[in-house]
Amino acid sequence: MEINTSADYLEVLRQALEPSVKQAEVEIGDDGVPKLFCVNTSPFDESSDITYMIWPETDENEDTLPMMNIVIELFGSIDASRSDDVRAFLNEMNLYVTIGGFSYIRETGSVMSSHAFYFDPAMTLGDITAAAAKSLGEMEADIAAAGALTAKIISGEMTGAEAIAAFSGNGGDKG
Amino acid sequence: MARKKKTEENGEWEKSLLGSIITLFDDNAQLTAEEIEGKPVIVIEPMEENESFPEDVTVSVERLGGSSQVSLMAAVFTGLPEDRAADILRLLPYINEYVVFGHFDLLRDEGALFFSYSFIMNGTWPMESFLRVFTQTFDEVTFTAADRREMLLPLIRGETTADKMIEDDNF
Repeated sequence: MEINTSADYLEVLRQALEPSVKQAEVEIGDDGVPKLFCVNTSPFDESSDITYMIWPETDENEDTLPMMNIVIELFGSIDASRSDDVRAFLNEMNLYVTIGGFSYIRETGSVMSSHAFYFDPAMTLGDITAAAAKSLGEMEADIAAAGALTAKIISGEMTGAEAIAAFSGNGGDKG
Repeated sequence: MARKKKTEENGEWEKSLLGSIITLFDDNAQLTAEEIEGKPVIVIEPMEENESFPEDVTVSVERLGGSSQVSLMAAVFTGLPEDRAADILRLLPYINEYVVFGHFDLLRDEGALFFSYSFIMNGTWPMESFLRVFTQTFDEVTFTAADRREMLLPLIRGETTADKMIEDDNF
């Protein structure tokens, strides 16, 4: 397949990821940009799903390489009263994260895991999709480690400090 | 024996990556090859104080399954006094809120604020592609680190407070 546009990259990614997720569809995002939306079982709660958004971003400057963005929303619309505890815990989690990072978005009350990487269009499609898939795998491992404790903070079952202690007591291991 | 040979070859690939990275820098930067926890790294520092460059950037490469993970860690501030480190820790979630490319970490015991970014590559990437990707990544990391360093300097100098920065929402 000849790759010329963002839509071409999205279709190749969709085909590569489709076998390992519940749903993979290319749709127009809220910002008007086409994105690959993947739905899969949450890495920390088998009874719920999680949505990934993946999209390439090109710059008008031809000397700038395109960038692949990966954004995963772990939680949305969190009660603002829990935000300080969530922030404190995410600060700690980020010390262990290598690929991407966790953030709390005030506007939406969401906890996100996000990553972006540059790629060279001269690389093979296999190399580009493998980099995206392996990055996703690393992000999932971090989400698996952080998600359940974050859920307990949001529900009020734990404070941020208690979640940090529970994570540290677990050796700080991923997964 | 075959497994051992493969490991050695992988080590050579990572060393050759670090060796290739060294060739990208000219006389404006000082490069030092070191080992941190047994892992080879390159530390890149500007030859003279440069406001558009962090204190230094440490680059490492390590195996991750069948791939390599290339990591860059830019020192934004080091040796922060405890009260300033506490302020930075409070601001950290706001600084990270819209950073998609990497994240900022505070090592509170060391009073050090870092910007960390890693990406994954296959051994099948052509070296030319890797160097193009690395160059652009390095520029992005140094820009982001220097940009936030400039933003935080008034706080470090005691010219503003964490509360005021959150209130002004200049992140």
